[in-house]
Amino acid sequence: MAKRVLIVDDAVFMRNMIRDIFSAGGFEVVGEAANGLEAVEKYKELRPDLTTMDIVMPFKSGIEATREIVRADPAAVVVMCSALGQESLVMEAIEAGASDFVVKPFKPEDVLAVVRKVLGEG
Amino acid sequence: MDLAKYLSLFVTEAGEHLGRIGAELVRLEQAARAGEPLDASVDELFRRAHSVKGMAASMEQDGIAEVAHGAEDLLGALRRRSEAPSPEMVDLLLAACDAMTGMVARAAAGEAPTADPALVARIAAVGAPLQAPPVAAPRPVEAAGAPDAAAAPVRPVEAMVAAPNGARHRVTVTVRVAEGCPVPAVRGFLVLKKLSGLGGVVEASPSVDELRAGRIPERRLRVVLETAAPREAIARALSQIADLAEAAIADAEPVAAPVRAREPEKVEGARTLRVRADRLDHFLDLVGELLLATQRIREVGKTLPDDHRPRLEDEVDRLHGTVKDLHDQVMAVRMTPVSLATDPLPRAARDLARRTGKQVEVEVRGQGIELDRGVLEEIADPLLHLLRNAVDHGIEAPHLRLLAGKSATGHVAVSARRDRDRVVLEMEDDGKGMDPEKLRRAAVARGALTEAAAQALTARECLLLACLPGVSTADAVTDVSGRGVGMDAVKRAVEDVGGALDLESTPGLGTKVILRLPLTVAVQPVLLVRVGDEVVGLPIAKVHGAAHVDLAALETSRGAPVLPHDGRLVPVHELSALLGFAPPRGGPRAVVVADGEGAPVGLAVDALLGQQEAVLKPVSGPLARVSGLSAVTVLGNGRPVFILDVQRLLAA
Amino acid sequence: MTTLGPREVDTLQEVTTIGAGQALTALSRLVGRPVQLDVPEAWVGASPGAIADFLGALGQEIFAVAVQLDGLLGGNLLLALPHRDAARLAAALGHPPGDAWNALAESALLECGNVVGSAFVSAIARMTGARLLLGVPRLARGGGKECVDALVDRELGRVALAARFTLSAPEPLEGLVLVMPEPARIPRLLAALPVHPWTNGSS
Repeated sequence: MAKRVLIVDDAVFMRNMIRDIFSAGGFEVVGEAANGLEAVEKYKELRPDLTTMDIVMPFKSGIEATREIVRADPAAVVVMCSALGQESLVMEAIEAGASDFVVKPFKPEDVLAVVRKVLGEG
Repeated sequence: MDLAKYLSLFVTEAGEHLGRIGAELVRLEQAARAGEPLDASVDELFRRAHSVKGMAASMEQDGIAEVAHGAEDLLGALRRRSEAPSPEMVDLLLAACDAMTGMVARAAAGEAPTADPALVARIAAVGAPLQAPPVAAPRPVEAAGAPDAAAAPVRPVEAMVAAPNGARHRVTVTVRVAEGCPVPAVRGFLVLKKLSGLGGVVEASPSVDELRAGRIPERRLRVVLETAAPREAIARALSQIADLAEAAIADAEPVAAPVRAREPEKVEGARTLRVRADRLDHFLDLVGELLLATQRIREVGKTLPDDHRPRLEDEVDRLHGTVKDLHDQVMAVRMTPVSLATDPLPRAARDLARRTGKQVEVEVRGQGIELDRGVLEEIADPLLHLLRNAVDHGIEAPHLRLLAGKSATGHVAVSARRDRDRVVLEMEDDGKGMDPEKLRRAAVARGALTEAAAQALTARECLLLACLPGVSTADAVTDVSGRGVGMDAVKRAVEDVGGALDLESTPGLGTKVILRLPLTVAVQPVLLVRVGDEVVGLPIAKVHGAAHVDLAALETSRGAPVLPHDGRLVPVHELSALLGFAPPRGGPRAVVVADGEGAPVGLAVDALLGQQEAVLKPVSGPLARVSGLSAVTVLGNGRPVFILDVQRLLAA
Repeated sequence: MTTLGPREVDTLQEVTTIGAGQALTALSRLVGRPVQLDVPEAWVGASPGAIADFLGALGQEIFAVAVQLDGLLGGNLLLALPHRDAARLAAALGHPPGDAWNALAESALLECGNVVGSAFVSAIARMTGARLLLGVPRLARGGGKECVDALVDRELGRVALAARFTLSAPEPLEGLVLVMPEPARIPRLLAALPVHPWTNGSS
């Protein structure tokens, strides 16, 4: 059965891009969120197998949202989506419970590789 | 190497570790009593003690390192044996923690304190019986398993070797980050975090701080991990991490060297900025000055000709808005979690309970609720006092509790929550409660009230009698919390910050103290009134109402005029008389109804001048000894105005 | 191939913030509407054409306008928008494309590129005291990879400082400003910038 993904990013084009990458990779995109608040709500509602999380977002950052999601569900798998220059933020996210990260500009195969590994699919 | 520049960092970080150690020890004891699993707690305590030891050693604070080493050994032995510490051990570890805290304070002052040999010896003695390897391993029988075996105990911790499945062993994990990874230090950080979820990180090279700074020489990370997890579990965890070119796991060699200068790394909580508290206060003072300066500019504006005025007023309004925003931001930075005041409570309750032979557990909820730092500092001691009361006078001895059908362990629940513009702090115990009748009798016996007045009080009001100085219904004066209950001091402290205290109690079931505290202090609305030639201010928080009144037309009672207000008759005093000013001239007057001692009073003034937001500054020096003056502020026109404390004025 | 360290990344981000800020203000004046700009992100790829490949992962058609930069800062500045957002931008400029993109709608977008590029270049010139030259705007339309490849040589298309911009009215639209400096020329640019009193947190 296809793994279910929740995509969180405040930029529409990023959400579209990540959605295209995951759909092509055999995942089922079950939801999208445009900020940290929506992210936490949608997570609780959808309980996806994986969440991709942008770092800088309005209302609530990706780090805060990750922290709340992992607190609510310690088994949550959250992959941060970052750019260069955001290293300390990514590390904060890791401390808050993020499972892994990808750095832009990423290639679709790289993203899928990271995700498959972190989900334990080798 | 110049250690001085690292001193303040060492003091803060060691202080944090020691604080957490103290709190964790209390929690550990509670958990042990409740039969809950302890491994994680003992593990954390061991690692923190190890951290303190390492930190102290690298700062050449050998005394602190020695005590920490002793604590670490004891905790290490408990950890190996998966044993719970006895209450005496917890006492000793808490004593070690306190000793180290004192030594850190002395280190901050530039000293290098030596360890107390008696303490070190006691810790070693208590831990000696545990140094023998766990009973499960087959060994030649020693003297009938006597705990103080003369046979040399195995040197602990450092001499550990790979152990059979389930027991802890040390492995070295080495990984190399793939070439293509643009942020290898972050990848290394992730590896470290994942490994620390499987056990204790004894050593990491590069260290977590170097990884945070982006340094990972040759993209290689080496971690020595102490774990009970089998190799397969570690290998599986590594296989789930992307971008690793190589990963290897090997048994770690036992290390002979005793005290290590390197600290074990554990990925700690989120990073924040440290700011010195006095810097923040200075900031706030400056913002206060800005507010006053803005008001002064406004005053100047009033003297301008009409055609210039509107533009200036607009700009001043805008300026005022910005300054208020700035003020709000600074106040927000001053907001501190209630945990600052509530964290010491479990430990204090524990110590007190032990000394009085009782059993008490403290539960704190809502520690994250934030309050202005100034308010929090004022109520921290009162909170401790209330806790002492609860443990000392409220919670009964275990056998009495059992007789009353309660659990042997008493409970004190401290909770904080927001209620609009207030923070409500409650402390509730399930002890024997307060008896309104006893309080009524005690108050009359003390001469605080007449019999008739006492009879007129409701049960609820009787409880508040406990807040009158000297009223105590303690069955025996104990030296633990002093004479009486000191509730009057607590009530005054709460009211000084603009808060209110309330009591609820049911005899036999318990008592609840409710503190309603304002979120901020520095800017308060005041009511300005004229008394003769002077202008004084009254905090709006203490004002019930004001009215223009013809004093001559008032009824009198016992020589003083009384004003009907809100369904009761309020005695009216001349404020000028209370302040020692010349008596009033005639003419229309006004009366301000404010909180007096226990009941509202009316204060006759010459005129009501209006309400204003004021930055209150404390009075200092000789002025502070004038009773009745609580603060001073400066009006827009530059005039200083004193803010009165009515209750103290009346009492003087 | 030059590697970009943390200090270079930080400085490029700051330059882009200032330059793109001016550029988007100019766009905002052109459109007559407020425009929001996100903080720029540094996208640094390992291989040539990394930026084109990245945008290629987007499974939809985009419009991209590029102006070549020359002088102290060499490289390209791109405005990239998904098809629907490009149409909305053209409409906001008074030239809704309708069913088929006509020359007027396209020239409206080209003009945007020109305005944004000029403002960016002026801002950098002010900061560095050096002259910067702007090329003629060129338009490409198609998949993300094709567009960027058509406009930017892959060898030069490894690094981008990307800032998302949004307009909320008359219809919400989102686009990207991509400042793509030629990697080899970055050190000269950084050397020409005024030295800041602050220091970066990392090495």
